[in-house]
Amino acid sequence: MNEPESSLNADAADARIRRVEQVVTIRRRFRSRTVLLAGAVTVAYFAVMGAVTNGRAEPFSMIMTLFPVLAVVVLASIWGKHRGLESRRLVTLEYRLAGMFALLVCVAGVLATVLPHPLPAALAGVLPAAVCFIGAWQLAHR
Amino acid sequence: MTEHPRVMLDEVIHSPVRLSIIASLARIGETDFAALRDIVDVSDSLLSKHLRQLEDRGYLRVRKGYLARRPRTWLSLTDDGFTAFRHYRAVLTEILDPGAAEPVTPAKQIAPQAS
Repeated sequence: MNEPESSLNADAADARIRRVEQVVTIRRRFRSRTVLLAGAVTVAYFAVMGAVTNGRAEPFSMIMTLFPVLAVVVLASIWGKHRGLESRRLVTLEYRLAGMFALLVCVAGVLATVLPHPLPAALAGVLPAAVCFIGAWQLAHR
Repeated sequence: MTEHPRVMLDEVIHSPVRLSIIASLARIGETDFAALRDIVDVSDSLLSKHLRQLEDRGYLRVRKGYLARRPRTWLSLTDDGFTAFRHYRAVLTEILDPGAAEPVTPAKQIAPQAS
C-alpha cells in the first residue's frame, strides 16, 4: 500500500510508533513459537518412533518415515509466507539452528533405530528438541 | 514566550513512512530491505525514496552484502539516528502529556551528510 505523504499530528505519530513496535513483536514471537512447536513435535515424534522400532506400531511405520519430510515442507512453507525480522544476526542464527537440528535428528534417528528399548529411543529425540528450545529462546530475546 | 514543543519535532522523522522506518529499525536493530518493506507496508520505490532521505540526513546506515549467496541490503540506524528518534519520542511525550517529564530541550542540530 502506498501511503500519501501527509503531515502527522502527535497522536497519529504516537499510534504509528506503537503499531510498528507491535508488528515487530508479533513477528519475533511467531518465529520463536514455531521453533518451539518444532521442538515439541520432535520429542513426540521420537517417542512414537521408539514404539515403532519395537514393533508396537508397525502399521504406522510408513507414516513415521514420511512425517519428517512432510513436517519440513510444512514448516518451510509457513516460514516462507511469514517473513521474520531478517536481521543479519537472526538469519545467521536460524541457519545455524537448522543445521544443528538436522544433524541431531540424524543422530537421534540412528539411536532410535539401534536402541532396543522405546524409552532411550524417545530420549534421543530430546537432543534435536533441545536445539529448538534454545533457539526459540534466542529468537525471542535477540 | 516559550515555543510549543511541536516545533522541536524533527521534520525528517515527522513523516508517516520515515517515522515507521525509524521506529522499526530502532526496535529491530538491523534488518534487510525486503523485511523492512513488509513491516512498513509500502512499495520498493517509496521505501527507497525515504531511505535516501534518512541516509542523507545521517540517520541511516546502508550496507550491502551476501547471506547464503543471496545479495542483501542491510539497514540500521546510526548513533545520530537513535539519538534523533529518542529526542523525537521525548518531544511527543511532552506534547501528549505535558508535565509528565522534564521539558525537552532542542536537539543539537545534526548537519546533513554531504551526498
